[in-house]
Amino acid sequence: VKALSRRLAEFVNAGLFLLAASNAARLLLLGSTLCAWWFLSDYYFAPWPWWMDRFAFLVLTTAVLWFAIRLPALSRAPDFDPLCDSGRELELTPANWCAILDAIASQGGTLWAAYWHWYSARIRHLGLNHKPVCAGRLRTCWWFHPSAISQWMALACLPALWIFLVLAPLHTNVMEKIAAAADPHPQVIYYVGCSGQLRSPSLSGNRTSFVRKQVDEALDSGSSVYRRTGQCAFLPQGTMTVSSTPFPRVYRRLEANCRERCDLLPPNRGEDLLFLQVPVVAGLASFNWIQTTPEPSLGMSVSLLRQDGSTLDKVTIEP
Amino acid sequence: VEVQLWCVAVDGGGGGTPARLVIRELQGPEPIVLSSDTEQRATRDFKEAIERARKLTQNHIGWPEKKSFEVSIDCADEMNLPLPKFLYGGSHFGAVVLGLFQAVALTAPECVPVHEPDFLRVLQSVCLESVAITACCDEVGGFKPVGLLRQKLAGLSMPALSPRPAVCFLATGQNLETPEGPLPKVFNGLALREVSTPLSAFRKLWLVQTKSLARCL
Repeated sequence: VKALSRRLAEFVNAGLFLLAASNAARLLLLGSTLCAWWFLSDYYFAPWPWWMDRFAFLVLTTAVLWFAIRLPALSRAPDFDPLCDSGRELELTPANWCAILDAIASQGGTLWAAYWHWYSARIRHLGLNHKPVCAGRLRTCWWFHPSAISQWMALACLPALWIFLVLAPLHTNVMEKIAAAADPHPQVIYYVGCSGQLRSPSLSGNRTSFVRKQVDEALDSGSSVYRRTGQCAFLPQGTMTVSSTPFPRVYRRLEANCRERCDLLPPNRGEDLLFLQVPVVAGLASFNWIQTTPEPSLGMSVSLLRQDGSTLDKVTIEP
Repeated sequence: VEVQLWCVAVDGGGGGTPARLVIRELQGPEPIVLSSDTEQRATRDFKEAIERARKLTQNHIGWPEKKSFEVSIDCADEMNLPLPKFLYGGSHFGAVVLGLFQAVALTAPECVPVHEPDFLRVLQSVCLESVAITACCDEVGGFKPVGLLRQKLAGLSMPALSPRPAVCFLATGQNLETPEGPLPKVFNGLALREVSTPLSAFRKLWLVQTKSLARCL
């Protein structure tokens, strides 16, 4: 818990500095947040949980803070440590802490130096004749001083921006167009597989019993028609697995339509539907269906859609 | 005010015993006194080293009026190693002078020359708890090499010491060639660093300490 609270205080201080002390840092943070938000609204890196799409830009913002401020400190580790484990217990007057923070500032580049000078200025506001402060409390000892009010007000912008961005995901086709232009492969559905369990009767003595047999088949593909030609044609229900071009990893949906000859079973086990949309992740999507009429034809159509609803490819599944 | 750092005492057989040098602020007429136990063990050259350290401190940063400091060599608590019956030689000079510099800066900052405000911060802020030093005094107030170095370092690098010494300062020009072979730059986890004067030792420690603190502040 102590380590976690230390990290949190570290993060808050870096955030306070970036938003309150430096215009360049403020631009860097807000710019990276907006870029990450826009990028991740259109594009995903991996088939991660859905909530990552909404919140991953926060992770990137945190990474900016970390790489700008904290990482250089780790890379400047001395070859021997005279403080060992007692560093956090070192107790000095604010004047001495300011001297140390200014000395640390002189060891690095612009952003690094600006951070430590800002930190030193915060401690200086406490008063140089303030009682000694131990290293473990230095990060937070100035938080509730009146001089910190302006810093906190600046920091409040960041959560406000985050909340706004989380509530308003931007879905555009910009990334789709950029990525598709860079990729020569056609954006199509190129495989449809069907799986399910086939019940076939078997005679054992005077009794008839049913044997379940697993069926996994690829449908025969035509130009825009996929045919159930094998045992799959006899399945009363099953799962369709649809593969489409996996790159670019932009948000796409698969729309299945049954035309009243079958029902589609939504993943959350709600009511059966004639019309269903499922997300496409890394080019793959699957959905369950059940035949509702004695006719062998499913009469199903499957469309690959962009985020704006326009169709990339459409195939039908017969019979 | 109390300042502590590591030093090493050598017994009659040539073995090194790690010890804590403790300097405490006192009120008294004498500028510097030895604790009763240390007084009993102190030989003449040990007392001379203490007096040289006092004079060097007075010359470099001054000495407070109406203040006295008690110098004590205590055994390391955790190991309970008995101190030698007699404290020989001048190799404690380095530890005493570092301790006195900091003790004076903490108790009487007004003594430190006003044209060196940064140096006052350095003296006050450097943590000497895990620092060891073994160096004699040369003619001009700098550090001079010591003998029996391997035995002394073996004492200071005992793993049970707490706080464990992180660095041992040696005089510039200290011969690291010993009859048993050359000494490495890090002796059993104890970093060896050469310094020529107390001021350079403080500057070196300050630089390392700021790097270390940058990771935890």
